[in-house]
Amino acid sequence: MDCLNLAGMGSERTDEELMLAYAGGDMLAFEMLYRRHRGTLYRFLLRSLRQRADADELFQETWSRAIAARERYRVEARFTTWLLQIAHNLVIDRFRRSRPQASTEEAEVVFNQLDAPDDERPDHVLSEFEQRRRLQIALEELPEEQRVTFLLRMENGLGLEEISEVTGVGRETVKSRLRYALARVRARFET
Amino acid sequence: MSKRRDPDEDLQRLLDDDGGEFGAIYKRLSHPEPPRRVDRVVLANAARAVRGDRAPPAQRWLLGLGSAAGLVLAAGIAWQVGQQIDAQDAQTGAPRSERTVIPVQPITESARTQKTESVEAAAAMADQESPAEAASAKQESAPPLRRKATPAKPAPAAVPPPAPAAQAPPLLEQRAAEPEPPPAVPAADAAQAFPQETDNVSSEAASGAARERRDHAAGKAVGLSAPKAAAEQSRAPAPSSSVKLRQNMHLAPQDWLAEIVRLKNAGRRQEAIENLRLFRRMHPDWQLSDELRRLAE
Repeated sequence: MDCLNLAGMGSERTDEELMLAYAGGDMLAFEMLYRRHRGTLYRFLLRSLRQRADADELFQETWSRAIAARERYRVEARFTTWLLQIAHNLVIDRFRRSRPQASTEEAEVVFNQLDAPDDERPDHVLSEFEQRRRLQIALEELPEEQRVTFLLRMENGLGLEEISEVTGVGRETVKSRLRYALARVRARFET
Repeated sequence: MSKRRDPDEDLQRLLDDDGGEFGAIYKRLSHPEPPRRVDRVVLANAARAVRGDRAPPAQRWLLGLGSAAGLVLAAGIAWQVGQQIDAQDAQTGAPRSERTVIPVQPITESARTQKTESVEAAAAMADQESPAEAASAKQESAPPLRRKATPAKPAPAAVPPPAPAAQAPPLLEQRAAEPEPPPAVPAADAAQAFPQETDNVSSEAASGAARERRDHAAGKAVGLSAPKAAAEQSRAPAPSSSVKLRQNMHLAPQDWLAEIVRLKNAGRRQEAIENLRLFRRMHPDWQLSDELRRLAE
């Protein structure tokens, strides 16, 4: 894909500038923007939904909505946050349609049982392949809200405030979800 | 030995720039990317959206151009058709005004013409009897001004002058204004239709030339060409412009000839000539006396 080979071109321009340029009709700006965010957005969707077909579908839908709403985009919002808000809303809608969410009480049980010796740290005990495999499984087993929150932090590098903005919940709720997610992941590594 | 972990501490490590211990593992996970087909779809959507924003002005411009082109085309076709018609006129040598066939009412025309001719003949005869009556008859039958201008027109029969209002029935005026050209009606029928008028002109002595003009005008009135009009004229019944003449047609040949002689002797020479002309048409093989033959000549 041509746009993916445009390495370095437009790198000095921010996401917001590129998005405004695209809203003004600059297709090249969109290609640069797409190249920057296609991977992280796709992985966020894929690991949130766990189904490649679903990820493909929502990935396409996310960009379609961004394209349709390009004229409403304002620089006040970070482009990454804005794009992930769209994706997050689609993911939540898909979760609601697919199955009931796991209760937070289940996570609480896991969290309370979490006792791990220092010398059993996952990066020390398990092989690298096994570590990746267990993290993968742990992510898949996380309740949806925790998984999404965890992914927004790990995949997209968002802080508490940004995760709060994307998910539409309070900062403390974000912290709580991250704590529970961490406990579950750790439990997967220590079993 | 184990210790219970502090969730806040784990969280803080997760929020560090390196993402803590799990952040390092996460970074080593595979990095799946969207399929190429999805890339193509997204980029195509983006490009289409941008093009779609710019398309409407171009479409409006095309709409205007198309409308102008349509008008030019229509004007061109109209001009071409006009040129073809002019070329046809040039070939036939007919003026454009003759193309327009204006319907006429032959009954009215015939009756009017006959009346005019007969009145003129009556006036001529009256000159011998009473100049005052002749003047009165001429004044009564004087054609309107429009009729005087009619011969100057290339197709006088195309637009027949209206009959005087005092003489033409209102119904005839309406019929004359109707666009549909009625078929030619024999003069005999016309006489039947208007006995009042024909009775008054029993002394009709219309000349052959005048009758020919009338017949020619009637032919043109129905849109016939000259040969066609002549053919129609040959098929038309013998001219008979009065009830008296028609009555004479039913007489036995000898009686009709006797009547003609009587008319001639009575000084109604034109009427006698008209009767004799009609007689010769109806009985071409009849041997005329020298007196009648001279009259016919």
